[in-house]
Amino acid sequence: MKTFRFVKPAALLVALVLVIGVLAGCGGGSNQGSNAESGSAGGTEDSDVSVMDSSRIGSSDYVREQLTMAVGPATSLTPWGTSNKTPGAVEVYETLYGQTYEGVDFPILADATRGGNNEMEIPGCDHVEGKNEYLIYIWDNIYDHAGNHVTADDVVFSYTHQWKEELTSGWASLTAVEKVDDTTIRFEFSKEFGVGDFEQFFTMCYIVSEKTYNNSKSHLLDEMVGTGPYAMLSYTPGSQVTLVSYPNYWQQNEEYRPASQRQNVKKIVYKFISETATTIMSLKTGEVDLGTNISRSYTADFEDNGEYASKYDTTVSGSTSVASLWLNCSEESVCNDINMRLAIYYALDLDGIVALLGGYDEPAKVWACITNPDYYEEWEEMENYNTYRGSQQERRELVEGYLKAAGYDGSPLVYIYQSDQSDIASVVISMLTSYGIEVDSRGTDHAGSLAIEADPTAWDIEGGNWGGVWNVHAWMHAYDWANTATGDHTVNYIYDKEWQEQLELCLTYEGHTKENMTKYLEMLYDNAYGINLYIQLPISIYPNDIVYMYTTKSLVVPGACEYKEP
Amino acid sequence: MWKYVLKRLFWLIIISICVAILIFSIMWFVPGDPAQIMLAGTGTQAEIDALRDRLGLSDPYLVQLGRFLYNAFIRFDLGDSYVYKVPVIVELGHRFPRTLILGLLTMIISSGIGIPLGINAAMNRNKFQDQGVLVFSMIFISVPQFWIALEMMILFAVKLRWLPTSGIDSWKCWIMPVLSGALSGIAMNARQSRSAVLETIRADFVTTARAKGVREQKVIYKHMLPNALMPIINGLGNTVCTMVSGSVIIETVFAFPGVGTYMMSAIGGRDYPVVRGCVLMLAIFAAVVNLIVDLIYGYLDPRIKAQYVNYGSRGAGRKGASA
Repeated sequence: MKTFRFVKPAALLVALVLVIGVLAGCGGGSNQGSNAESGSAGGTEDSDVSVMDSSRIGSSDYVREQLTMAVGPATSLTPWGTSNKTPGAVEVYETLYGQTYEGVDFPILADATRGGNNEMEIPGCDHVEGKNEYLIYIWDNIYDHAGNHVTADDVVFSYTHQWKEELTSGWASLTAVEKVDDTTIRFEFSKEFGVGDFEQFFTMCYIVSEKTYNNSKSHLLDEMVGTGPYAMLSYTPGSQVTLVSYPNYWQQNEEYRPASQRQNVKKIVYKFISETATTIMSLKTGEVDLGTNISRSYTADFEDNGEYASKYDTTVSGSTSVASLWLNCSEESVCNDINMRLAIYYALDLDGIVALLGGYDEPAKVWACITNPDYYEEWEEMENYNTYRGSQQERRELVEGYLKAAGYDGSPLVYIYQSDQSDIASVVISMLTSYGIEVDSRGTDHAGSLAIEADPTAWDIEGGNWGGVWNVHAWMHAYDWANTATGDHTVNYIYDKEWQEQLELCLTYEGHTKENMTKYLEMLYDNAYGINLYIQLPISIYPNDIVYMYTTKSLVVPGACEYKEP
Repeated sequence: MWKYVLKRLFWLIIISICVAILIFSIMWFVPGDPAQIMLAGTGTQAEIDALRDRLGLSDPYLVQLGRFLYNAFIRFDLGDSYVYKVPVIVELGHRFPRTLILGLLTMIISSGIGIPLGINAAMNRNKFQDQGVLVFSMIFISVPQFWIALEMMILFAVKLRWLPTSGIDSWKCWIMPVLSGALSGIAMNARQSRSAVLETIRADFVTTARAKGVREQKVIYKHMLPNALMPIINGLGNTVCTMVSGSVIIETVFAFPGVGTYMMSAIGGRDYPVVRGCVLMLAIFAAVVNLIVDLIYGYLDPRIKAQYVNYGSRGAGRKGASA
């Protein structure tokens, strides 16, 4: 029986082809992206797009026929929830107020010709003197896509439904929502507004007509009927939703129509794509025009001299966040000792971390997000472990000194991380190990990490991301005592009451000052409570016929962007 | 025969209840709190506790289990997704047919090509057809599915622009997902059928048939294949179940809205109703597929059919023998 002589060479050839294919197909493109731009929340150096400039309120002369945008997967079209991420909801539904990327609030359904007597000096709203009550006035000519007149009753319905039946956060102080008359609603709270409370209550509840809600068989889970400038045309569950410009949009007074409510695209298609690689390829084929929240490691082909740079451009947009480390400060952990914490912090070369992760993000100098409105550059001049950029030798001396002071005996620390942070964890662990700090790593998912955090004996180090419209919110999400069951410590077991009180002060309107925030940071660094590794800057890839990209803190609003004729 | 089918259906119900209890218990003991995940980073502990109460998560284990079993098996209600509020059964009604069609198409292509390839390889053992099939099988069994999927996307969508990258809005969107799954299926079916045929080739009845002068075509298709097909059919049943339940990678890469992606996102978010509903549906599906495979066995193999027909009549054999 003859043996096929070329089997081995054929197999070798195929294997070689596969290896070449793996090397060519995986990883980045031909050019590595440069470090992200820091500073103001604008475009990249070579971008001629102006983004997030709220002073710009004109509409474009050119109306795009269609724009297709890749968004994360969605399984319903619900309009409810303070963290609502339903694709297209921002175009179809409207809230009482909107907020620009820079954190400026503006009225949408709220009547801009009335009110204004409040500490925020925002039209459409009056603060009832001496009480924690606000009167919100709405326009009297609001109609939804089903033709229903939207009045104060519907505002009360929407708020009550979301408050009692849906997922809300930060609404604990709301105590009553009542109709005063057809265009006036009274909101009552149990305490004074703090920083971000106005946005939390008045920009995070879409207003839905009660009649529309009741008439909808699915209660608006598989259809969208709102008051916004766009109406839903079609929905394929799990796949995409298509919106069209609504010709009978209620706000025809250009003077009071905010920039966010423009209709600069005739048709918007939101495609649900979970995998970033698929989004990138869809951009390359032209099936998708706009992708957001993309890591810089994918954007090389769309920047500078990349293959698709003639058709697309990139910019920083979306919610930025800080990549940080929690150290377990409970008595059950060796990190309870400040010297141990300092040893860990000084062992981390932040520039090196960013470089090892591809150089796409911005090494941090302070526990704050540089793109937030309450960021102060003076913080970068503070001398602490976050700003430290000493030589390796100096760093080693510092670390060894702190380890000796802590009496570290070489026992391994438990580092927990979520699966999407495995790269960061690897880099951090390797740096710590190089200084003699032994680490046992433990990967888990988000739910698992929350469960482990609750056991102070189970972990020593945890990586995480925190963000917020304001830096005080990022601090709150990371270090507020209210995040724990007992309410007398932080999630990483810091029992510093004075520090907590300083945070609470910073969260009030009057206390939200540079001096108070600086003091909070000084306390953080003096006690080595935390370190910010780098700022994560998500990128949007957009077609270069966009001359002005409108975005809220976390969402690009395609209909509000401005386009030029191709 | 009907007795056998009815008994299998009865056991299907028992198995479904056992699976439901098992998946409920597993999700109960897995670390992670859905309320905490839904509000993590933005909600206070008080809000998290209030949400747990609203979702019924504060109730004892037996109460929650009883509620779930009652709703699932008496009211046929798998609950609403914690995150999206959409009834699980409604969403599965959209997604399961897509995943099922994807799985069936994949199975048809993988068996329609893989089985003849394997038979051909076995009949031409050690020739280039055989070696080619072995090499092909080795490659596509070893190579990860996600890699195949991404490379196909780069080639057919990005470079050649023949096919769309994702979605389900046209028939072209189905080609790459089906082929990505089918390639490894072809490889496995080819190997399995090759092994099955090689075993049968050496059987005495095949030698006898040849000795009697039966034509080679008839030897292959009338004598060998029916015997070789038994393990292959069993494999096909497993293939369908694997394709349907393990399609998450293909669905994720191609943004294909099927059961796989639905369940994966629910597992991460501890969306218990979705996970339970998906697992229960897949378990029932697997049980039904196995029943169908067994019935096909009976149709093809008279010996097995006789067992099914005589199922339950234990005395019949003895009476027949004494007579």
